[in-house]
Amino acid sequence: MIKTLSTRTLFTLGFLILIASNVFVISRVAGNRTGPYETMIELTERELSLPYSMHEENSGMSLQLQWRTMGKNTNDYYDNYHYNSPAWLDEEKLKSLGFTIDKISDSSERRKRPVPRQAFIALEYQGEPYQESLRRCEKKFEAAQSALQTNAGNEKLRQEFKSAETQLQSEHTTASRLFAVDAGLRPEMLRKKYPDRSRFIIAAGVVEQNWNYENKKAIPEGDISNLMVERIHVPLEFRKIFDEILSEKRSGDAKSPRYKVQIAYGSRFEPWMRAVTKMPDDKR
Amino acid sequence: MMRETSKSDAQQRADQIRQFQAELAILEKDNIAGLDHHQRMAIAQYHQELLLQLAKTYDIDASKREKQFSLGMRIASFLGALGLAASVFFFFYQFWGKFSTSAQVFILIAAPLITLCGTMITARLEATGYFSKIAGLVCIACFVLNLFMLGQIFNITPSDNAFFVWAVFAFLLAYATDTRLLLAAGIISFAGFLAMRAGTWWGCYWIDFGERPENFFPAAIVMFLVPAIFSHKRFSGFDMIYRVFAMLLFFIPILILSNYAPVSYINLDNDVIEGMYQVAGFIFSAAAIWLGLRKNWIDVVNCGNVFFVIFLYTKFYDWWWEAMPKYIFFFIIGLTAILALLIFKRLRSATYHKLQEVRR
Repeated sequence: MIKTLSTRTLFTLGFLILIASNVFVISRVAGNRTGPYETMIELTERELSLPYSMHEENSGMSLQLQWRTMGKNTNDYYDNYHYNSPAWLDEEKLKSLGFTIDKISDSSERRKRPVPRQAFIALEYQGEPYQESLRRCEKKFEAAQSALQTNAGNEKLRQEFKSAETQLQSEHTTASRLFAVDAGLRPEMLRKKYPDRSRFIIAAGVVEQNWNYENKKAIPEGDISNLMVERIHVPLEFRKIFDEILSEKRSGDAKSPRYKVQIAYGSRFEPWMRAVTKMPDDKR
Repeated sequence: MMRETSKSDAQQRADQIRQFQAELAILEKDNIAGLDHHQRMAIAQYHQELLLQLAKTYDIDASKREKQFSLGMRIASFLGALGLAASVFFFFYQFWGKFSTSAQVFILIAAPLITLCGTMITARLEATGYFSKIAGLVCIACFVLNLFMLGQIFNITPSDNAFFVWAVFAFLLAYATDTRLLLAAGIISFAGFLAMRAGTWWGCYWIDFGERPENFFPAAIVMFLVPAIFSHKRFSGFDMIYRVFAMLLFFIPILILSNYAPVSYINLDNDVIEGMYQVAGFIFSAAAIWLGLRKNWIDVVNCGNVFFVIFLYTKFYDWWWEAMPKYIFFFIIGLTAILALLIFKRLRSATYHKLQEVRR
């Protein structure tokens, strides 16, 4: 078949592929953005952060979606970062996502590296997980304060108090209020369970299964490795606002969010930026 | 009459003619044999016409000096192609943030279309293929940038389908311009796509296809069968490229699995899996050497040799690296190589004597 195709035919097919693939991509984008929104939510700099540094050879800009998970360990603040296993992603949930939890696989002779799977993740904004995270920080702060008061000269306790104070302040002003609360294979079922489209984002993500060794027992638990789309491109019409923000000098203590962004998710669960508002200084 | 169907065939014929002329000169000088005037003129005229025809059709190197220049041109063409392709990416990254979305989309779609026109024109105007190779690779770079950047601009969920489209496009350009570099780009993209699909069928998220090296086996089999099923005589060295990539896609996963079983799909003890793949490595590399010798596929013989040695020395490392002083370990490596040399020398002598008997 190859030798019967002339050079002209091959080039013509090449043109057709270029045109067809671009038509497909553009129509897919249009399909995602038309019709009713899957999610319409307003997030701040806490949940959509600017890049740490602007690369001088890349003039584009994207905001990074910051989200967290609520870990099992109520005493560990750092259990709330997204790379830790959420308490709800247990063996039963992993099986519902298609993982085969084979206990034999954990034995040293047959241990396998787990293979990540695709799933849909439900993220809640300013919900119960965030309130719980605040409560944990406040509890930790109070405990550290109380310990320091009884032993004021102890340098270690002073450090722990400072750390707890910083964490509490961070929880109030800079930490993301977006928490992953559930996962499923069918997004419509997740949406049915979390119908508020202004507070719950349903996004495609990747889940992997690991083994946690507690008291010499291997317990399966899951991690959400990443969301499929975690960086949201900033179109030119909004660049001016961000360039202004980046050019402003910021004092070391001023860490409140500087902007609000309205994000929409379409029928294909792909996001885009709809509006950006700079937050006035007194509101930060 | 010109029997050659590809540039490599044509170059081989030209080299053969030069060698014939050189050997004839030596035979005549040593008074072993010679041609009469009529025969000499007829052969010289025939060769001259043939070389002219081959040079016109395939732009072959008629002399040793031309060959040296051609090698330099090939290297320059390769580096030029890579350099320009990379510059396309960095150029776009430097300026894209200053354009509106519509302008970005327009530039991304126009770039591969324009460079495809450029490739078509250079392929038609210039028979050597050096400039069409550069244009072709730049065109592929523009197409990769096209889909990749549209994905970034519109926050599209990443998909392995892009690799299939890039592969098909690269294959079309490779066959249209008879360029091995573009064929390699197509093979890499298509092999990646097949491996990603294999991973998806087994339940894995497609980006993590590398977590299970066995995902590469279907791609390896397909790549090895393509030149066997479809004749590539018209294209210079295409069958060799397919076979080399097939062997790399096959043997590298086997090498990994023979040392690290937890990344295998097979649900057996890790020691058993590693043992199985080690044995498979030896058997298949030896089989590759045998098949390559039988079919006169020097590329398959070389790949088989390389991987057989790698598997052998990996085993030596497993057995003896900790168990003996390093100087003895490397001494044994050297002795093994000498033993292999002696075996090959004996096989070579046996082949030579067999050939002598056949001639008698």
